[in-house]
Amino acid sequence: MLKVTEVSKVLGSRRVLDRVNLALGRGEIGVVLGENGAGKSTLLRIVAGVLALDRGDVEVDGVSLSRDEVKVKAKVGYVPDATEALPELLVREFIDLVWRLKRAIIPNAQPPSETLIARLGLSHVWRQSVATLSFGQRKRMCLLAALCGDPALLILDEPSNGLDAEGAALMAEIIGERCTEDRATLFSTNDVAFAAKVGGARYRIASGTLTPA
Amino acid sequence: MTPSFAVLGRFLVTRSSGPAALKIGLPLYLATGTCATVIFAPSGLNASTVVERAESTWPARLVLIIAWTVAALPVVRAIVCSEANTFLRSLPISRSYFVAWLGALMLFAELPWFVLWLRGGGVTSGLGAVLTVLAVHACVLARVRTWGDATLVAMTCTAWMVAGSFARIMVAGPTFVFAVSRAWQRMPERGASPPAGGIVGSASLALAASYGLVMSRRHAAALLRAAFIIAVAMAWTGLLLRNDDVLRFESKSVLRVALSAWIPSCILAAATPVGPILRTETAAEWLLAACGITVTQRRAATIGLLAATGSAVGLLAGALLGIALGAPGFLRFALAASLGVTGALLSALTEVCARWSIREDGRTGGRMVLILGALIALAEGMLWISAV
Repeated sequence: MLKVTEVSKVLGSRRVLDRVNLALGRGEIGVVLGENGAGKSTLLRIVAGVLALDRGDVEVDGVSLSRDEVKVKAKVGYVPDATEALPELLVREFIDLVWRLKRAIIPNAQPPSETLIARLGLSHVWRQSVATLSFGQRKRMCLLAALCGDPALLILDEPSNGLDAEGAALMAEIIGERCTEDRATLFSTNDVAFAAKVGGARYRIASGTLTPA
Repeated sequence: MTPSFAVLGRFLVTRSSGPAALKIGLPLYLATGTCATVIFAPSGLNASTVVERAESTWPARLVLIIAWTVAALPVVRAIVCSEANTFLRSLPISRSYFVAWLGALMLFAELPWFVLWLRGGGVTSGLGAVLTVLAVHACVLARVRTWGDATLVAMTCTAWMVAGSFARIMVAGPTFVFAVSRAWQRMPERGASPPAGGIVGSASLALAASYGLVMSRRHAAALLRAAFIIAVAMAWTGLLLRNDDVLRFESKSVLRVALSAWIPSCILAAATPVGPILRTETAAEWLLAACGITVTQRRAATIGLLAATGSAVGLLAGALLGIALGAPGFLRFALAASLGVTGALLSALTEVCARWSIREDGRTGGRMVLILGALIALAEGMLWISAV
């Protein structure tokens, strides 16, 4: 499903990632652990195609990110750690925008169902401005946006950050459900309890290298 | 004066409100200074004439205060609502200190307006005018929520429209102090969510629609400023064509005069929202990248939005100008069509210039001003050559 081969990245004068390798099969979960600033978010952003890599390659379902970026992005959903984007839009407008953007590369992408919206606790803020949401609510909104188009690979940067206990449990539940549907999830976290709850293969990133934890 | 009063002032002036306001206000003050140099040139108007005219006719008084309120609103908003001030709220400092310093900074931001009325009508007139505009700005920042707020706004506006300078001071002074305090108190609160807008169509169209919603919700003052620039240019064109009776000569001359005013005003007006639109695009960078939106789609969204708006405004301005001049049918059509087409082209060109300037400079400043100036000069030169 996901194959990260020899990926390197230099930010400023610092080598954040040095020949990182990672493989994730269908229905598998990958957890990236590491200290603050170790390079977890950088790795996830590279896999999501948000940040360009310096060396190596990322393949999703056999398609190379460097060869066919758009095809890879059609298979990936990404939730960043910071959720600042278009705070002036209403939640409904934001999700509508994301759905229409994704429809450009996934022609049969469906808008999120009422059930999923309600499950993520977004029904009562649906007509509210994004700027008025709490951090946890924005995280839920970004998860809903990432699930648009039913991606084969979900990438979550610190998914339990800012979520209440119920929200974190829901996040773990959704990741687990995706597993049974043969869909992979890669996430980074420092929340050991959350990582234990979700399970999956654990990796630790330190000094730019990724090793099994 | 307690030590914390001075320390607070130093922080507000040099670290938070001051720099934030200066960054936003510098173009406004430069533009005001340039306009004032032209309008109040030795052979031109003087402040007394302007103030006398404004005092004698209520529409002129209304237009003047609306224009300055809209133009200076982003600056006073930066003073009161600077993000850097948020943590100050948790410190044990009396709210009256904040009101005093923010009020003083706001007064400083209104200096061009104050100077105009001071020179034109004396101290009482200057104080009345500046306190009125300060009260209006403070009320806008405090957001009108209660009947009490609405009454204060109504009293201030009534005093400006029907009463003399002394009455304005008596009404606007206390309103200003009260509203600044309210504005500071309500600063961290979010306003009510706006009514939903339509995000429709393809990726580029949906992106353009979302930028449009962001502009109308967050940068309404910038849009009003752009509309004001166009309105002034078109009013000037109408008056010039009527006074010189150009209509008697030929359609080409009318079109040439209209275009020579439209081109610079269109470029300046388009340059106003282009910065905020490109900043919005940058803020949504991760989203666009994650959704696989190509550079072409992004550019289609921004250029399309600006070109469509420029075209619509040009069509409207041309049609209104034709009607106001009582021009024949063909000329009305030609005015609307030429302003519409050039509006679309120039707005798109402004976007291209701004993007290039950001790529080279990292911001929309220096290069952008030079490019737009060159663009205006080139267009005006071509018009002049075609006339010769």
